[in-house]
This record gives sequence, structure tokens and C-alpha cells, in this order.
Amino acid sequence: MKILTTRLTGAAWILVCLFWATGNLLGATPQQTLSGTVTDIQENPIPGVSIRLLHSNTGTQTDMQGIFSIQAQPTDTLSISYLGFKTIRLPVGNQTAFTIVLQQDITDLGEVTINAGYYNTTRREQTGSIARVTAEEIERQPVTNPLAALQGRMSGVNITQTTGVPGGGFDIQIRGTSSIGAGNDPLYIVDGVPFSGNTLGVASNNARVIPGTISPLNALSPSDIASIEILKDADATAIYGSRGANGVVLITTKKGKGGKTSLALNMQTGIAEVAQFVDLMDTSQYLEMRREAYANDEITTYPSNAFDVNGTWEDNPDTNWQEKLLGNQAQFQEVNLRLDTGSAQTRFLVGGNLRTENTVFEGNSDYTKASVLSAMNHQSADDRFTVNLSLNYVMEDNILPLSDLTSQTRIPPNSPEVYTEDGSLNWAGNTWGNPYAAILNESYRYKSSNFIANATFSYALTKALSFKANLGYNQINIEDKRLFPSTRYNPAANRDSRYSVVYSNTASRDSWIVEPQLTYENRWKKLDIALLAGATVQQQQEDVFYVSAQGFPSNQVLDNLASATTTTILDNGSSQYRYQAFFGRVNLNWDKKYLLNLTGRRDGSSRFGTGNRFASFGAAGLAWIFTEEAIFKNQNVLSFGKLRASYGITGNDQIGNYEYLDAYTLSGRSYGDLNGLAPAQLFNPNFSWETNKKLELALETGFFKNRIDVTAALFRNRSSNQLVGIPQPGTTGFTSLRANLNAEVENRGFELELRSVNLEGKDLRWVTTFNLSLLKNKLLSYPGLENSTNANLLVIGESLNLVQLYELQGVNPETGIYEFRDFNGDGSISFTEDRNYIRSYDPKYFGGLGNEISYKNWNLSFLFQFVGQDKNGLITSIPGAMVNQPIAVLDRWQQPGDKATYQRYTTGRNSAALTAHNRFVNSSGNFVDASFVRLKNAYLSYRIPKVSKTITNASIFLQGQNLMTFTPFEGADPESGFSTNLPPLRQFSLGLQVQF
Amino acid sequence: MKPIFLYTHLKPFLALWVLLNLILTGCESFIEVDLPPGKLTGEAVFTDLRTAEAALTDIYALQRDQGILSGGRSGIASNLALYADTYEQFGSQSSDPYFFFTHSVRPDTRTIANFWNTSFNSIYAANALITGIPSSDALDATAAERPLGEAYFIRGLMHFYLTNLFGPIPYVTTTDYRFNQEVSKMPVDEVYTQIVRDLVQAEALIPESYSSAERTRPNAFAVKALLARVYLYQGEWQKAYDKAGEVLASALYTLDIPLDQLFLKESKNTIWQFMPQNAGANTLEGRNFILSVLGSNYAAFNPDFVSSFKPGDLRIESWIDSITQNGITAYFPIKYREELSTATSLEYSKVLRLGELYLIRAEAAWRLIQIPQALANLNTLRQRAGLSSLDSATSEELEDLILSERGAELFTEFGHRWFDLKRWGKAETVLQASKPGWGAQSYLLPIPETELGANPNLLPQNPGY
Repeated sequence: MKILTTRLTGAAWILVCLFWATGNLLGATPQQTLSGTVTDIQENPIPGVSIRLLHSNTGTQTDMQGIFSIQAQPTDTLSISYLGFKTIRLPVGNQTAFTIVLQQDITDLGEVTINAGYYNTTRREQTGSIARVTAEEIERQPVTNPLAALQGRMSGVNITQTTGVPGGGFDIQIRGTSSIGAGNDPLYIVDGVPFSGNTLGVASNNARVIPGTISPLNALSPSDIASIEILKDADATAIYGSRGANGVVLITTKKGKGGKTSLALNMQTGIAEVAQFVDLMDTSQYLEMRREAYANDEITTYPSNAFDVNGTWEDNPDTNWQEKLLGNQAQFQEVNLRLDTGSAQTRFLVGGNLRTENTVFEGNSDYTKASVLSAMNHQSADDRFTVNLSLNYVMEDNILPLSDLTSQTRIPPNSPEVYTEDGSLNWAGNTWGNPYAAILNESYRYKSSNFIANATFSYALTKALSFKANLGYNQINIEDKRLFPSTRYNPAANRDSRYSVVYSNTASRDSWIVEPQLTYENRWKKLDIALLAGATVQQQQEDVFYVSAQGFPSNQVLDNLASATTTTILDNGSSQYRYQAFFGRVNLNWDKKYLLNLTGRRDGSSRFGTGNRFASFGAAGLAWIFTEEAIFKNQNVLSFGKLRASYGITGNDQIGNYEYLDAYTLSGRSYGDLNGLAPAQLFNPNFSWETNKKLELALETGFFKNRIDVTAALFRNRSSNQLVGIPQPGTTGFTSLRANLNAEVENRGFELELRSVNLEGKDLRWVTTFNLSLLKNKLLSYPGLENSTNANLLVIGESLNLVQLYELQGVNPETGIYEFRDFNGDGSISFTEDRNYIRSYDPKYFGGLGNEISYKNWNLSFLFQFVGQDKNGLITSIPGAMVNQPIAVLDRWQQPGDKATYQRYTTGRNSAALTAHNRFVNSSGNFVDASFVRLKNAYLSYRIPKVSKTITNASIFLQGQNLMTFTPFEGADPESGFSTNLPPLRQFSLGLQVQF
Repeated sequence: MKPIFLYTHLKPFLALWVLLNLILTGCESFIEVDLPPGKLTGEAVFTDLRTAEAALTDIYALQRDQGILSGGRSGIASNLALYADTYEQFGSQSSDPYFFFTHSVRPDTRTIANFWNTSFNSIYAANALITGIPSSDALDATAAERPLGEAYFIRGLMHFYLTNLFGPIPYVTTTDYRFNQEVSKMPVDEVYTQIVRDLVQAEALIPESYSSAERTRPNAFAVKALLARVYLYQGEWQKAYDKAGEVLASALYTLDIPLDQLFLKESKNTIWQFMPQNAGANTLEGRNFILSVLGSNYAAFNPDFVSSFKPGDLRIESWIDSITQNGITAYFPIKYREELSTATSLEYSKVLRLGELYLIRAEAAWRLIQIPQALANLNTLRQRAGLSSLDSATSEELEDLILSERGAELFTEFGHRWFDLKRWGKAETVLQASKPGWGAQSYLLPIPETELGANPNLLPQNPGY
């Protein structure tokens, strides 16, 4: 096998070299040399302007004096483009010297190149749905995860931050949840290299401080990113075939612009804090609750372990544990240095970035992220050969408390003091688990290093035809550890380092990809033709080594597992994923008016059993730029109008490897000298791809010389052949079975994007952007649902993210206990039949409203994000037990006749009240509106005019994230929603940007 | 000129053809992946006795660590001690142990789902052996009898505990999920018939000798000991008496061991015990029950249970210890005394031990109204515990004596006390006052809610949930 793969890589290389050599020998055709300068309207030369020959692959760039030269024939047409300026097309004719003046483009429509993955397109000519965010917007946000920078900025893309802990995760959903049981993650591609979004961490290691999984996307530095494109519809995603069902996220790192050597330095420092705490009871309210609960339960003698009320603890301490544990101000610093230089033929960029931050938690925490980016582009003198090379290395080191302290904030407010008078931890006669024992001693540590290398070679075989090879390599190594030193125990337990435990996981992922491609671009009369054919070979290998160690000679040596008396290897697995495909594209553009884009892919994946490995995917996109029609020529309101539609099939293979095998796996358990072998899963070799059929219809318009752009899109995605772990009754021996399920899920929605240049003057410019997405998720069909294993979990016609709840009917004024609707009228409330109040966690709508105002040297931008959704409410543990509660529960039943929102307090001894409480937690009464509008980001900068000769640009800026939130939700944060996770933090920073 | 012209134009297509060919030939085989280290195909497991035994002993390891028979928090040893009158839970009122303590377990209590799922997972693994071993040509048929017999034994053992916890349950005898996902419940007496059938099979297949001196895999006497218990629970008194007698007649076992050494791994009381995970490790019972500090959350003996021991009972001294903190005294069992690892392991968790067999005989004899035999068996244990021998007793007296002797001997061992209270019809009298959640539902645990969702054939839920 290995020999074959080496042979393939070798073959690709040989082909590249072969083409280069033969091309040089045979390719030359007589041409003339053109030269010229490019300036703006103030006659300042513009370096780095792209000069391309239309319908060919040759091109060059202006140097730092704005001068260029290029080989061309009289029949050629030059295309001169530069970001932020209007593109000009000039027929060459007999002219050999040019003076070109570029005009600034105030519209977004322009000729900005949009990365569609295997090919580039423009806003004007795209037939699919592609959202885009550029470095400019990303850099204005003090975030560490690239996904955070996208929140509220793209229609159809819903991103949720699950925790405010550094290194924490984000959930991303592109046009809804389409899979019942396989993954719903998009495909991430960084500089042409697929980047797995699956964590390498062990969830049990990080789960207590970082919920869910640790996203590998943290191992990218936002400051290294030039743009992020998100492909949404069939036209854009079908070329990614089996992996395109959930959308594709294309991340492009920065490249050198060339021209004059410039050095950019960007520094910022900031603070972060919890924006909002939950209103919890103070000591008097809390003690009143506790005493009332005992009275209600008719318990007159407080139990010996009810330390808060039985006199063991004093009544006067009144600690706000939220402020004590989460009330610190976190700090962060970031330094970013970038060197950009080169000639017209060779350009390179070297950048470095360092960020450190800590948390709002009490105790030690420290997050460091350092990255190095280098990019090199070279063009041969005849412009026919180009090579792009980019290398990106990011290292993270995250030290955190072992548990999110938010979960500790509900301890009684009259808990003892943390420290005794002599400064040691106060155990108050062993009556409480002092949270500082964990804070000061336990820790979680996550380290990662991520290396992404990409090389693209392309060679113009003829003017129309070129060959390209994309080679990519990615390696991620992580190490994550949980440390439980014996010092976390109460000293009374008399536990020394023999009781210390360490869990350590080291894992790595290696993947490589080779993608040879041929592209052909030509023009025939009014028809522009672009063809693409290519192949992909990809392999991904993962290795894990997870070990626990116990019994150390000293707590100083916990990092050395060799010193432990007992080490247990919990997992030492490896898995391989291989993937192979052919893809192609046919793009026809008639007279810039009618566009047809056909894409297709044939995929093979090692995740399926023999006979089910290959499948084909494809899509067609159509566009009609109707403003090019004659009847629109004589008006100046509608400057651009395009109607586009696409339909196609994409797939989803996001399941584990080897699941089709009848296999036994090492269980990690041992018995005597035998290491345990356990059946790996229920045996089913006959499953295959999930398919997602996507339909989209969109209208793109530009008004008043494209000062106002409006795009509206309707989409309907239907995914079938659902690849799920069908929940199995335990009697099968397992809790799920991997299989294709003949069910259909629909996501339909509406997206609106608007961009308006409200003011455009010499000094003043004001741009507003707005996006809105409406989404409806629905299970369309499920043959035989009633008799299936999902009978009580899914409902036809409802969302996949449904919740089935009891319907609260209020508190009975006589008994003081919650009452629920008896749906089936059998006189009692039972588990399945009466949980019939169906709602969903899906956001009903979401979007963002952004403004950017620049006046002379000042620039102000701000973005409001809004989401309409419901979440679980505030109540989890039972009011009356030894746990603090939100003050909302003060409105409780106290005596017969009371009309109250919450039921009587109970310690839990009243079993009717306990049962009712447990139902209440899963009832309509505890499922609340968590919609919000949030001032997500604000950025203010001032450009210092003419500092010195060497400094070409200097500005200072002030930025803020999550500044204000307007919501009816009573918890700490409506976005993350959980009461046990640290909410996303409010951040402020001050920075300086200097360019030499 | 001509050939060059042709070449220039055909070159790319030629190249494409070469490229596609190259990849296509390697196509099918490229996406063929090798099995990673650590995985074996089902077929490969049964080509070698050692791998088949690794698949078998993994079931013991699963039960030891996470299953019903775990001495840790997931098992019935501690949870059913709380459910009965033996143990009390202090602290957090929203924890699973507290739900057991107060009889407020619900269909979504995680521990319940764990009882159910790990047991059926073990049954699946046993069924895979029962199917895989006989159909393998590579295994030596005689040598394979023992692991096959053990698989039948496990299947009977797991169903025995399941039916005692949940009442009517399906009896699962295949690995085919298409069948198992739709199984229906079987009345308890039919479940017992199946258990007896499996145990009789096992008894015939497993030799009387142990496979190793450590007694970590069941022998024929372990099967007989379980069978004696099953007969007793079935009310087959004579069969229970006789089967217990077969074990007691064996020279492999001796009762006469000092109480504080009874739970050492070399103890000749042992009929079957679990091997710990690592060399040097001791039992999960030791870790779970021994209290070195009273935190805000802990479980300890119900003081009434401790005071119910007869004066002079040596088991109080040898098997129970206490800790006093802030004027609160908490009692805990020290049958297993090692909380941590030791240089070499000292104690193994005992699943079946000799003492129970005397109690089975005593009870069976009493039920058969053979008072002298009942007394004789009871006295054997009383003498070892330092109590006087009883010369005579009425049937009513004997009932109390045997029940309390079972409590004193078998406390915190895999739910004996709760099963006894239930079986003897004493649960309501003993527990009603102390369990706020006591009700008619208490006799059975609820079937996990996910289970009813996944297989409607298991409806209805046990009464009262």
C-alpha cells in the first residue's frame, strides 16, 4: 500500500516536471512586450496590481513604482484588477505602452475574486451561494478562534459560542441540521488542505472545563487569515461531493503582495470579564428558603449534615460566589509582525503572531498561542509557470482549572470562609468541600501544535490550457492532561502523593493530499468556456495514546508518568481514513449574460464496506444577468440584476472509521494476563453515503450604480439515506447501530443580505450591511416511525432538534405542587405519553446589522448580532435543597390559596414535590425565550497622519466584543444558555498598528 | 511541424489519460485500509483459544469495573445497600445514590440504564462466544468446552440479576440485533427456567478444577453455587439444599478461616472472585466503602443496622469500622481493608463465597421444615462468628434468625440484603418508615426510559413509574 501511495505522489511530481520541460521546449509563440504604469486618480503609483491576459493563465503584477511589463499578442485583452478598485479591461491592439488610472470601487460587486475552492469566481459571475469575510473584518475582533470572527456576519451560517473559556468551542451550522446521526460539521479546507474538525482530545479530559470537544480550529491564528469563504448551495458544494453536504469552509491564509518591502506591526492589549451574572439569592433569602423547605417537609430537627441551617455554619457570611469565582478581570495581549516583500516575479510574506491570555477564574490560568506564517509565490519570467508555497505553524498551550468554576457558584452563600486566619484552606471541620482546594491544586493542560503546508504548482501548457498540482500536508499533535494532586483532598483525609492521579493523552493526526488538475479557458465568439478536471487522493492517519497514572512518590513529579507506581494504558489506538475522487467543472458564460456551471465528483471512501465505497455527486447552476438585456440599458436605478438557481446532490460520510466491520477491539481492560477483547459494534456491512439534495433560487440586485446591493435567496435542502447510529434497545447489547435510515430531513429557509453605501464623500464614508436568515428544520418522512427505535425520540413534521416537554399548568393553589397537562387523559402523568408539548432548540431567525463609518482619519465600525431562539431555563436543582437558587424562585407557593409561579420549597423529602420538580425541569415552564440582540463588536480607529518618512501608516484602535446584550433571558448568557458554563466574555482592547 | 502540432494539442489529453489510468488502477486498492493494531475481525478471534478467552474474560473485567457486579459506585453492592436498610447516603440530594437511598429512582436515572446496558452488553459478548466457539474449526473442541461453559454461566448469571432487579425481562440468546431490538418481556418464572437451563449446560461443560490457583474464573462448583441460589429463589427447596451440599462437600473449600482474613485473595472460602485490573491493585469495594474523611457527600451504614448485630458477634469487630468527625460517627464495612494498591494485590472481589451456601442450606431446610438441618447449618456460621450454638428453635424464631444471619454475613455484597427482604416479604415492614419514596413500585426498578423508547415491545413500564 505504502509503495503505491509513494508511487502516486512521485508520479504527480514527474508529470509536473515533464510538463514544465516540454512546455519550455515547445511552447514559445511570437509575442510582443507591453509595459506601463498603474496609478490611482491622485496619480499615486499602485504596487501589486494584477495584470492578466483574459482567457489565459498568464499574468503579472506591478512593482512598487506601479510599473509592469508583460508578453502579449495584439489580439489579447488585458484585465487590470486590484482589491478595492474597479477592474479595467483593455484590448491590446498595437499599443505597447500604457498609462492606466484605476478608480476606487465603492461597491462590493466589483471584480473581487471569490475563492470557490477548485476555481475562482466573482460576485458578478458566481452561480452559487458563497459568503465571504475578509481579513479586514476578522482583524477588528479580539478573538482567538476564526469561527468567532464570523458570528453575525454571514447569512445562513449560525455560529454559537459554547463557553467563555479560552480554547473553548464553537458550534457551526450552515443552513441547519441535515443529519440525524452522522456529523453536521462543515468540511474545512485551509489553503487547499482538508482540515479535520474532529477533536483529537479525549472528552473526559477536557469536558469539565471545556464542554464538548476542543475544536482543532483553535489551532489557527485569525491574524494569519486573509479570507474565509463559506460555500452553501449545491452549485458551490457539489464539487466537494461526499463531504459537501454540510457546507464547506474555505480558509485562505495571507499571501505576499510584493512591491515595496513593508513591515507591519500590530499590538493590542485588553481585558475581558463576565458581562452578566445570574441574580442568585443572598444569605437571608437562601436561609429563608432552606428553613421554609424543612418546615414544608415537616422536619423539625435539622439533619446533622444540613450544615447551612443546623447551626454548624454561621448565618452571617454572605458570599457572592459568582463574583468570587468568576469575577476577575482576564487580560490578553497580542503582538503581530508581518513582513511583505518581493519583486514582480517573486513575492513573499513572513509573519509571526503571539497571543497570551488568562481567564476570569480564580486561580492559575494561562493561554498562549504563537504562530508563524510564511508564504512564497513565484512566477517564471514568461509567466507560464507559477508556484505558491505556504507554511503555517501554530502552537497552543492552555493551562486551565480542571473544572469550569461556574458550576461551583451555586454553593450556599453562607458557606464558610475560604481561608482560615493563618492563611491555610478552611475546611470548617470538614463540613464542606472547599472549592479552592480544587482551584489551587487541580489543573487541566492542553498543548497543540499544528503544521499546514501547501504547495501549488501550475503551468500554462498553452494559452488556454494549464496544469496544476495541489500538494498539501497537515500534522496536528496534541497533548492534554488532567492533574489531580493529592493536595486537593482535605488534609484530614491524610492523603499523600500516593493518591495523586494524572490522566494524559497524546494524539496526532497526519494527513496528506495530492490533487492534479487541468484547466482550460477559452472564448468562442460570445461564449467564454472554462473547464476543469482533476483528481484527489487523500489519506489521514490518527494515533492516540491515553494513559492514567497513580501513586506518585511526590506531587512535584506528576509530569513524569514513569514515577507512578501504577500506570494504565486506557487507549493506544490508531485509525486510517483514505479517500479518493475525480472531479470536474464545465462553466459556460454567454455574452456575460447567461451562465451555466456544471460540477461533479465521483468519490470513494474507506469508511464504507466493499461494494458501497463509490458514489457520484453533481450539481448544475444557472444564472441570468438580466440587467445586461437591452431593456435595462436606459435607466439608472437598477444597475445590476441577476437571477440564479442551482440544484444538485452532495453527500455526507462523517462517521467513524471501520464501522462496517464485524470486529473485536481492545477494550482497555485486562484480566490477569489477558488484555480484554470486546465486540466493537453491532455488525452491519451494508451502509453507505448520506445524500443531501440542495435547491436554491436567488435574486441579486444592485441599485444606483451598485451603491445598494440586495441579495435574497430561498433554499430547500433535503437529506435522505440518513447515516445514523439508530438507537438500539440495550437488549441488542449496544445502544446504537450504524445504518442508513430511509428518512428524509428538510431544511428550508430564506436569506437576505443587504449592503448600502449610505454616504460617499471625500472625507466621509458610511456603509451599512445587514443579513437575516430564517430557517425551518423538519423531519419529512420516516417510514414506520411508530414501530421503530426512534418512536419516542422523533416526530414527523417537527425539527430534529425537538424537545418533548410536559406542559406546565401552574402550581396547584391548595397543594403548592406543579401540575401538568394530562395529554392522554388517563388521570396520571406518565413519561412518554404526556411529554407532548413539542418545541425545538433551532433558532427561528438570526442575523446581523453592521455599520462602518469613516471620517477623515477616523474609522468606526460596529456590528449587532441577533438571534431568535428558545432555551432551557434557569431551574435545575430543587429549590429548598442545599444549593443556591435564582431569586426568581422567591415567587413560590407558601400557603394554601397562594398563586405562585414556582412550587413550594422542599428539601426533596416530599416525594410528590420532588417528582413534580423533576417534571418541571423538562416542562414548558422551564423552556424560555432566549432571543437576544447583542452589540457583538465595535471598533474605533484613528490613523495618525504623516508620522515620519519611514512609517507609512500608523493608527491606534480601540475594540470591544460582546459589549451589550438585550434579552428576556434571565440566565447569564442567552447564547451559550447553560448555567454551568462560563458565558462568552465581554472584551475591550486597545491597540496600535504601525507599518514601515 | 505536423507531428509537433498534434503533440502540442494532444499533450494535455495524453497526460490526463496517463494520470487517470495511473490512479484508476490503484483506485479500489487505494481506499482499502488495513485494520489498525488493536482490532481483530470476529472470525480471527475464534481461531485461537487465547483470543477467545480474552473475549471471555473481558466480560468479567467489564462487570468488575462498570457492571452490576462492580464493587464501585456503578454496581449493586453499594446501590442496593442504600436501597435496603443497610446503608445511608448523606449530602447531595440530586445524586443517583440518593435516589436509591430514598427509593426515588426514575426511569431516567443513569445508574438504572447502566445496570441494564452493561448486563445486556455482557450477554451479547457471551452469546457471541456461544455462537463463535462451536462454529470455529480452528479451536480444539475439548479445550474450548470450558470457555463455552463459562459463556453459558455468564448468560445465566446476568439474567438472574436482571430479573431480580427488573422483574419480567427478555431472555436474550442471540447476537442478531434484528431479533434483539424487538424482543418482548418474559414472565419471571420462565426467565428462571432459562437460567437453570443455561447453568445446567455450564455445569456439564466446566471442569471441577480451577483454571488457575487464583480462582478468578468459575469452575463447576461456582456454577453449582449459583444454581443453588437460583433454586432457592425459585422455591425449589430440595434442589437448592442438594446443590449447595455438592459445593460444601468439595475439598477445595474450607470455612474455617479467621474473619479478618476471609477476603484475602488466597482465602479458601472463595468460590469465584474477580481478578483486579492491575497487578498490585485491590478491590473497588475497598475504594468505594472505606471512609477516611466525612466530606459533604458520603454514604455509611445505617446505625440501626449496626446495632442489630447480636452482642458478641465477631463480625462487628472484624468487618465494620467507624470514623468520628464533629461528633458524627459513621460506620463502614472493612470486609475489604485495602483502599489503595499494594506491592502485590492482597484482596480480590468475591462474587461467590462459601458462607452463602450454609445459609442456602439453612433456609432450604427451614422451608422444608427440617429444623435440625437448618439449625446445624446456621450454627456453623454462628460459631465462626463467635456466637453460641442454638440447640433448638421454633420455626418462627428460625425465620428471624436466618434472615438476620444472612444480613450479618452478606451485607454490602451484591444486593443480598435487598433481595432477601423482597423475597421474604419483609421489605414493606422494614423499609416503609425509613424510605420517603417507598411505594408499591419499590419492588422493581423502572426499566430505563430510553429502552422503552427504543423498543416499545418492552412496554408497559414496571408498575408505579
